Amino acid sequence: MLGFYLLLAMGPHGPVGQLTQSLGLGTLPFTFWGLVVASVFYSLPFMVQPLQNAFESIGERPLEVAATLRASPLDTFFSVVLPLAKPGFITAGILTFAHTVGEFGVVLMIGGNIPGITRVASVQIYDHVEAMEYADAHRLAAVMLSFSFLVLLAMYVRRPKPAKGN
Amino acid sequence: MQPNQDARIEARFRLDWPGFTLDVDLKLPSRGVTALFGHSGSGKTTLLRCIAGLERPSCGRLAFKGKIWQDEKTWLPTYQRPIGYVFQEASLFAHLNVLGNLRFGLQRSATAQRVGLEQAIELLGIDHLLARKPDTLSGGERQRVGIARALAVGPEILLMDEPLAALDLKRKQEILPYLERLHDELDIPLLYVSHSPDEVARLADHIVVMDEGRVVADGPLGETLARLDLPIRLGEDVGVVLDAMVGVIDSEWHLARVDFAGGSLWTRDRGVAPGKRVRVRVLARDVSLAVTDPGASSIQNILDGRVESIGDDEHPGLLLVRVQVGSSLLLARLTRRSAAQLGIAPGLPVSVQIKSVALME
Repeated sequence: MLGFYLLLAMGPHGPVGQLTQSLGLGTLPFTFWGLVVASVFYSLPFMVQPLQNAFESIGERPLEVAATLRASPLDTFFSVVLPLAKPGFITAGILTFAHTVGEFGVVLMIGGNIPGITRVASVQIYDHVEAMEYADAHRLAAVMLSFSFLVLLAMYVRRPKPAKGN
Repeated sequence: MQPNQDARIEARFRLDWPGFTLDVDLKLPSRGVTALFGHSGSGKTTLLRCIAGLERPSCGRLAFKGKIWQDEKTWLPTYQRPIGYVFQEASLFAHLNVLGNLRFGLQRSATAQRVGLEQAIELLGIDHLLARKPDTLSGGERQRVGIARALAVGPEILLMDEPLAALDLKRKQEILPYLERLHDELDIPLLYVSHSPDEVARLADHIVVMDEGRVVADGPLGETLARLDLPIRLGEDVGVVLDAMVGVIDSEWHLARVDFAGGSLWTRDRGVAPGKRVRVRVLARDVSLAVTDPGASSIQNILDGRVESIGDDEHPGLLLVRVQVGSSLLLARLTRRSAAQLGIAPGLPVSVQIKSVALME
């Protein structure tokens, strides 16, 4: 559904399509950058959620401390908030990447499965299965599986350690 | 409120929150330790946060040494105020090590280094911790780093919000000597929020007593604690603090004699050298009065005094009696019946028997 409406919006008659055309960028569907834009939409919640949690868990206190130590609000954002939210950025990045790699419907709809341009791994598996090339499908699936395992492992290792004391 | 000659900090705030109103008009001395004292919910922390600019009261005026920090037209944000602030929990930055925490404010401070980084490290005894991360420190160590970090910015005033409240008794004992050093060695004013009469008695020179968002008493520590009409319940902690000097050590009986304006008291020898200035705290419950010479008694400290005035105590069966001893005042807690039987009245000469004295360096 998301893919369909994105396709309409980014197509030559859609609002986004009109905008990109007026900027001299052409239309986005069936191009690599179209895939990127669609994936950004598709995976946005997976980025926002961990980041929101990370920022919320920092709380008011470090900001107040920074203010009493002469840091302006902008300075505080870069020297206190961003460093403290680093684990959130890493989690969000890994989650979003894994989610994007595994997506299927949206890339097929927007990308159109053009070899060498918009054919991605998940669609490739589909093609192998369609062509009854089960061995190739298995091989690619195994690569994807071990990749997601590695991603989850990385997240588990990187997960924030429970703080000691206060 | 009596006019205060060296009042250099003027604070007037009104803050309305649901269920709580802060309404204060204060002049604070620009030197020494001023304790903001009151029970929890009395507004003392809110007052401190207003002074730091962490709360923005709807109307108020704050002038520090002639400079306006807040009035109808002016609002100096926290990061532009020359303050040092110590929070109840040390609140160290978790992403920096101890030195990084100490340098954070230092790098951003344009003010003269009245207390340099090295002096702060030395004062708080944390030079062996500099490379450590905050989560590897004990609660007491963290708070010492928090205090040093506030000092390292070279503040013109140090604000401390119950720096010991989150610590157990052992950690408190570990930090109190450092706070006493601050009191002795810093020439900047220190505002110290506390609900502990013991901390106040040890550290404060001046006390502001708060209750339900208002200032109910304000003045020099000794005078204020000796007031009979202090409108705050101190319970067992009612008593006076006297400035004294260690006179003689009796090494045979492990006692020390402390001399104050009005007499001398014997107390346990705590290893304080003769000639050193100390404070002694005498609780009203440890003071009893006699109208005739009590003769042989287990109580070593018997002074001659004169009843100055009599006031109510929290319990209807009790009285507080203010006794003049030399030029000092002591408080004694008596039952109404014993006061009636002894005929206690202002002007009556009495023997003041003091059961125990707490010596504070």
